Amino acid sequence: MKKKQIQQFILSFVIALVIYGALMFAMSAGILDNYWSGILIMACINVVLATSLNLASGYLGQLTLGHAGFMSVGAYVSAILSIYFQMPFIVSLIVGAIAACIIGILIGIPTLRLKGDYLCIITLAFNEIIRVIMLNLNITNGAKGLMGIPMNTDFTTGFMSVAVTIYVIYSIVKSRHGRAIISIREDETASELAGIPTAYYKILAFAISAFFAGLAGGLYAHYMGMLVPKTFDYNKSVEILVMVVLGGLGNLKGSVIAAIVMTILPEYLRAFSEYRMLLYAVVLIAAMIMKEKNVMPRIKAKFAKKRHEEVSEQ
Amino acid sequence: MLKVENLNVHYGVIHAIKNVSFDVNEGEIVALIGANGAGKTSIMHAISGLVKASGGVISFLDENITSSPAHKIIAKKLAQVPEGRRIFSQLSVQDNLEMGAYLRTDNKINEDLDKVYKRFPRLKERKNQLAGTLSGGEQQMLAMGRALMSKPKLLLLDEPSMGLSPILVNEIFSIIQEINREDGVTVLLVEQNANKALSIANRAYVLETGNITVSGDAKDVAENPKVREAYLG
Repeated sequence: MKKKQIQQFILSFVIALVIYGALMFAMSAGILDNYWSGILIMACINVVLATSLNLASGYLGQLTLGHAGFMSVGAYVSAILSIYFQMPFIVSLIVGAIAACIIGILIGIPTLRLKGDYLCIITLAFNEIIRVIMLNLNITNGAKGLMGIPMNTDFTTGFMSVAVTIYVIYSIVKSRHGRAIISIREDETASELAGIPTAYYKILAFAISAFFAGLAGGLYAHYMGMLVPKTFDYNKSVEILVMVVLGGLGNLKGSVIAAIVMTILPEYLRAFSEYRMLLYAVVLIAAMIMKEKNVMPRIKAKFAKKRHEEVSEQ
Repeated sequence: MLKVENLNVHYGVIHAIKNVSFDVNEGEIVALIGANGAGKTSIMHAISGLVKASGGVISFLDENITSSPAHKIIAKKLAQVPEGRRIFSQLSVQDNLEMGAYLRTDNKINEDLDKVYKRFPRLKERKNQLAGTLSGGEQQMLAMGRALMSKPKLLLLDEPSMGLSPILVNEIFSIIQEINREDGVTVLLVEQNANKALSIANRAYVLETGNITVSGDAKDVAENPKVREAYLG
């Protein structure tokens, strides 16, 4: 078992390295222009956001609508550290993520007793509160926006962050802690009766989720070079949640794919400019219907069957 | 082994459990019977730490557990099979059982897993199946197996017969007796099916709207005219 895990780790590491190398090559050779490398960085940020939200919403099963709030905490804290305190990029990223994590714990302790729609509304309210605070503080420069953030985020930092996020969340999910978190989603009372300290795990999952949202925020701030509070409104939270739901609650691979698709799709839909949002909505509805009907598992089963037949024919 | 003294439970202004006292001795099967809404499940939840007692003392193995959190109580080898089974439906049967051993750190977990599979052969056949796809009776067995995986000294069973066919009810009750006799697990059984519960219990308590009205040997309780009229028909 241990050996298999190590093999798996090395394999994923090599695959990640190959993808990274291929994309870096494509960028330096000019196959992917600046426009596309920008989209790739946004895709990286969205993957970090979606996978981290999946921990809280997919695995822990708490539907939250405040992920953009944690993202904005990370974004503003890291940006302020970079601008006013000239901190190195990495340090401000990490401090931003830790700040988001602390806010996550502070929000988590009172709210995680709530469930379902109540938790949704509370986290939504928290999202708005953070936004209004950012709008009214002097240090964030309010609605005019915080400018002059060093633009340090490049594809390498984005890709590294994705790798670290997926690695950490995957390891948690596959561990004993992960099983505890999943069992809370399945049945909280039964988890308590199995001896799982449910309050602790809920806050742990929430905090880790917020940490990576903060990291994504820091990446975003140092990619855009400026921040306005409006970016982190309720729509952003919904957008992230949509990625998670489309990819599948409790499905990390799905989150990654959905985040990439949902970053690139709007770009392709630019050609239809006016109908873009309409098309976007249609795609989402279609995806939901397909999901509801379990299209993906069925296709998978079909392929598995085919492969099975091929094997038996040989 | 378990001693409940003057237990009170409030839900807001509703006084659900009023000064209830009873005890369970080692090796016994004790039944707690009563109609819907009598407060049976509230008592179970108070013992396991799922709801807070508003008054009284619960002690287990001479230790006061009244205000301990649930996971600390489970760690003292007091397990509960909750009402309605509450299995982890998206996990496999085996994962469900392993979750029951969540707090254990010894290396005999696999041994006990085999023991549970021996007791419930049907679970073994379905060990890689998602628990949600099991039938009601199998789910009840899984919930019991999961609780047994924590190696309890005292097992609380909340309505194990709920929603099961008469044949399955008989099967479940004979398994409860086996667990009690062969594994030496003390059992506190909460049931609406008074007939069945009294047939396997050593002692019984009858609960009515938050009060214990009759108590004694299971046989005597079964012959009590009041109980016969109200519960046994």
